[in-house]
Amino acid sequence: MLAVGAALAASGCASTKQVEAARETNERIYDPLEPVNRQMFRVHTVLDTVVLEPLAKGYRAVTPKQARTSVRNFLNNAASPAVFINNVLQGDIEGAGVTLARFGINTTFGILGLFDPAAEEGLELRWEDFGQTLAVWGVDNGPFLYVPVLGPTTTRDMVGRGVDSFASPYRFVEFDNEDSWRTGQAILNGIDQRAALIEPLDELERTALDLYAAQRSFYYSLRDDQTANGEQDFEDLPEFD
Amino acid sequence: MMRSFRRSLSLALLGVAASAGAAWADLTGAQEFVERESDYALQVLSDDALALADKQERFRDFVDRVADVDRISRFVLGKYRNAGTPEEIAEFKVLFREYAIGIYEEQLGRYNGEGASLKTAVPRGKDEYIVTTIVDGGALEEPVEVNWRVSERGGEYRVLDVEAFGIWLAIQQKDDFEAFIGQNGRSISALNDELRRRLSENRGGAAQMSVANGDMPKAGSGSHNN
Repeated sequence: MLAVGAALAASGCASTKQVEAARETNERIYDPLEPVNRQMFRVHTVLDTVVLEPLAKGYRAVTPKQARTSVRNFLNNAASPAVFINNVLQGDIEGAGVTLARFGINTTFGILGLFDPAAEEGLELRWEDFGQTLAVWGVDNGPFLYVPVLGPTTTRDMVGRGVDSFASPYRFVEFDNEDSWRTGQAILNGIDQRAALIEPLDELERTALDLYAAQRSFYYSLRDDQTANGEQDFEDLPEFD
Repeated sequence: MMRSFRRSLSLALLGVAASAGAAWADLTGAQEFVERESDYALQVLSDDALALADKQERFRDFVDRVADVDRISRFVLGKYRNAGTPEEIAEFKVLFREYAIGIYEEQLGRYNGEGASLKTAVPRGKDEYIVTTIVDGGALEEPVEVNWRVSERGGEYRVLDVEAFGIWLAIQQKDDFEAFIGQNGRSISALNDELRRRLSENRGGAAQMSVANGDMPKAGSGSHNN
């Protein structure tokens, strides 16, 4: 909270020109809170440099690749109920069937989801979340947000995250140390996701002139691609002239 | 009346058939263009007899021949494409070409035997095509779909943009440059300064030095405006 307050105060010092430029948005990106977001980005960059990236690199250094794949499989499998609900909410009955079959196969033959035999049978993971469901329903991204630790997101996707957390299987099963388990899973998920982004983020850092804007653009593109399930409408691309 | 209606209909159908035939021919042309050029690029990359400097030289020729550098240069300036003086824009085009080539040139020595095969091609707008290829093998754990946005003008095909994993390179570049210009007094010259600084910092060589020393073509020369 302190960091947010400090950033808000600092953003008040941004030059008028910078604020005006920030308010001008392009067709794809809506970032009315850009001065604040840029401060949040700076806070995040410090946290990332000091904590998140070293953790991700350490995780990669001490675990064999197969172990990391199993961790990812396990986390994906645990998210299956949320993916299933979103399949249904998007009216994708075929996708819901695939998610259900994957959950059944991977929880049993895949030993609690540590392995992904379903993918070998052609039932590949197609990630869906409530942010994407809202997009399918026609809800716009809303203002772009940069949240320290979480990174770039949009208002719609933040709402989506909150809703998805209610569909976690641990909400429906009671067991000892439930909170510790849930926290541990969230931390592991964060480290795993950051580890997967080591190369792309390094590449952005190497090539970008404005790293904040480059990450923002990267986020919008990835999310658009996820929502379209890789089936882009090429007519929506911006014209060159 | 009926005869003239039938005649008009026949002519219209012939016209549709002819234009569909032309579109098909263009689609095939776009496919062949991407196939031919990606084969050439892979051949250069996999030629162990070629020194890295030779590969870099061929890569530069390849970029100039295959990509529409002029249109891409204007596109990546986004809403600021008309903001600078003709001299600033001309300088930007030279710097951007060097900068963009420099980014990818570094990767040339890291080729691991990946191959590309054609998947599909679809028309886009009135003179563009999206050609989809599958890149596989080498260091890739699984096949990657790569989309090429190709324009056709006067029978000549040029690449405008390339996409993998949902990221269109020119769009990503535009968002970056647009933001940088916006944050730096909406000045193309500030962007040019930054590109020049990065070029002189990261790379050596006569071409880069001439850019770093401000040896720029005069406005309007070097590349044509469409």
